[in-house]
Amino acid sequence: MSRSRTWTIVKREFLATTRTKGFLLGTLFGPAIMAGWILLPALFAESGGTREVVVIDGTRTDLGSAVAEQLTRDSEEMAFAARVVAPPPGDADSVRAEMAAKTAAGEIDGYVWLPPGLPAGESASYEARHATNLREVRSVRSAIDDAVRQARLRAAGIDASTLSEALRPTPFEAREVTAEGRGAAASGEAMMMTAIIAVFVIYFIILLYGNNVLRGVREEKENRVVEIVLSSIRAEQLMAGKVFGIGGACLLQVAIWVAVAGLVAAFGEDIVRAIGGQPPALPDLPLSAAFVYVFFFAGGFFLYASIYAALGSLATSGQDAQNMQFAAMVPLMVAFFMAFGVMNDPESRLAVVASLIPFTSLIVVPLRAILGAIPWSQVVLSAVLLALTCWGTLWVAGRIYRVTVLATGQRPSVRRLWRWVRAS
Amino acid sequence: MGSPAVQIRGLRKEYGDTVAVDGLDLVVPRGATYALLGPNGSGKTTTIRTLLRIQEPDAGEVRVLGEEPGPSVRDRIGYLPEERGLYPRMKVREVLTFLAELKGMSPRDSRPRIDGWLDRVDLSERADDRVQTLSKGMQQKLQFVAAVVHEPELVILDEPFSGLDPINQQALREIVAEIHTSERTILFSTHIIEHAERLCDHVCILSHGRAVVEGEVGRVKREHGGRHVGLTLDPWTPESVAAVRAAPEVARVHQDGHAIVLSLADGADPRALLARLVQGGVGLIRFEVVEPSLHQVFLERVGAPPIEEGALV
Repeated sequence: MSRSRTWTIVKREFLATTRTKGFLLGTLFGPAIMAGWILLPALFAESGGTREVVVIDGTRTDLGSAVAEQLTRDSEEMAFAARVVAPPPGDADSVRAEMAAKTAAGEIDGYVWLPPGLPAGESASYEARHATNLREVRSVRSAIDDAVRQARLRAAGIDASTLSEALRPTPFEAREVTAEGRGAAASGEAMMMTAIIAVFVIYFIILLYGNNVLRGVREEKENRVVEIVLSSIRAEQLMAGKVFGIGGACLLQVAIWVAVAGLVAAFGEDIVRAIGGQPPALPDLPLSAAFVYVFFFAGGFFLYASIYAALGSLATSGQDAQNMQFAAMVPLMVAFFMAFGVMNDPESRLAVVASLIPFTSLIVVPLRAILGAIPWSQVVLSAVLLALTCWGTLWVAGRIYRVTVLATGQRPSVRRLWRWVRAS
Repeated sequence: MGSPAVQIRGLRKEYGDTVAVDGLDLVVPRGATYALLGPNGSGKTTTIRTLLRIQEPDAGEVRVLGEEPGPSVRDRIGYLPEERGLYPRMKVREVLTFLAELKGMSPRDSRPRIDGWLDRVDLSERADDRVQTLSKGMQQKLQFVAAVVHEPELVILDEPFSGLDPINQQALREIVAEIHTSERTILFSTHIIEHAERLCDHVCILSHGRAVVEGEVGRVKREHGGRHVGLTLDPWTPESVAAVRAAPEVARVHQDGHAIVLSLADGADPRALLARLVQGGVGLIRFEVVEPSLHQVFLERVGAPPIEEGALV
């Protein structure tokens, strides 16, 4: 007959949280963002097809051919098939009207108009069915720019190939080096992007689920169900069950996201290549960083969730609860904004101090671990401090919860609250 | 079975400057139906909450079913709080299963009992509906089921009849009587004397956090109710009533329509009173020495009725 009562609460809170539409939508949201990040560029690249364009060369030079040549060159951006039409003198308008009609009829995708004064600075134009497609417009513009630039260089007696060789950008790559070895090319940027996403996930998830805890406590208090529950278990057990149940739902959601991220990392490149796209650079994250992330995320959640629970038990009205919510948000926001400073220099004194304060370490330590910029000694010390603070906060919050959850009327002063907590 | 169901000695509980319970002593024998009777704010709910350790007492000793109130004894108690509420989005059977599990029953064990009780209180057809779709009265019945589904040795009901219509009040009284015959202990609080009078065999009248009277109902009435005479006047005239009030044997007159109950003064002889009224020409069709009601005990000991409902026989 004997079952863990806290476990019963954990189970109820977990199910009450995971059975909502909000949870389902939130769980799908993460993978949708990841899929969008990886697949959409590739899908868009595929969706355009080859653009059939006509270059109407009113300059009566070889600029038209040069533009057509630039357009049809192999490009990652977009594929074009281009032919040049040289209109009879004074009859450009009728040719343009004819091409406009063909464009409207779908016979061609568009036409480029190179006016006679183009080399002197007159404006070229591109009229097309997809003139709002930024990549298409960018390709046409770049082709015209290149052709005109080369013509000007030739006119000035400068060899275009010599100049372009001299101006060729120097290849550069940032590559992350970790204890596990060197990362792939471009892993530094990808690592930074991962770190930013990781920080956002911790911040928003704790905010979201912390508020869930606060709202849950307030609702229990408001609809008085708390009294019947407290006749069976201690207030501390109820609070812990609530924090761990909602925390479990939260961790499940993040675990699903991480699993999808893992699948993306494992198969994303192949899928993107299979549909003909260019895969984005993926970070080479050491496994240890994932462990640090999960530990600090969970520890941080329990730390803040117990604070939210205690504040929820103190709230005497909806307005009061909102003020309380803000009080708990402040240290979390400090940690969040600190993260951006830490990103610039993950081994600065600010980074070290923020790693040792449990209210900020939950964001700063995983961030530094992802960036590979924290020694293990600091990770261990931070973890111990976070665990101790978590335990202490759960203890104090449990007592506040116990003495205030049945209270109604005016909120007690801090001094009175402390007296109650010590006496309980 | 030797120890009482509840034993409280010197219980004290304060909220800031307010003393809610002030040195309370009481004993609830096993198998009793025990009423905590008192006006609002007399300390009934606080006393009950300390029995369940929902609130810690500031001083005093509390023993429930022979033990210190704690995790082991909580499973043997069923509780219906005064301020009722359930999880509105949970389904009826789900919420009962959850509350039974908190009392140590596995869902498999609780299922048949829950179904039986839902049938008993006419809620079988709503078993899979969400709690928030039930009427207030139905939710109250559901809470009552939650208090008794694990067959506790001690059932504590805090103002169980408030908010129920007369039909459901009667149904609840029948269930309480049934629980009583199964030799389980029932402790309920009420501010309505009629309910205590009808159901309980033991009573504690509370006033300002103190027990003014406590014990078996018959003894309480005998020892604390004073001596009373019931009268019916015929014809009823203001002069007759004035004559009754003026008699030196009469300490107090309680009047309810044409029925009158007199509290006799200390040492007064009812026969002397009868002779005086007959000689004074007061028309009487009934004159009897009556057992005092709890209401009269309340008036004798506290001085004012908790509420008007159920006043005077």
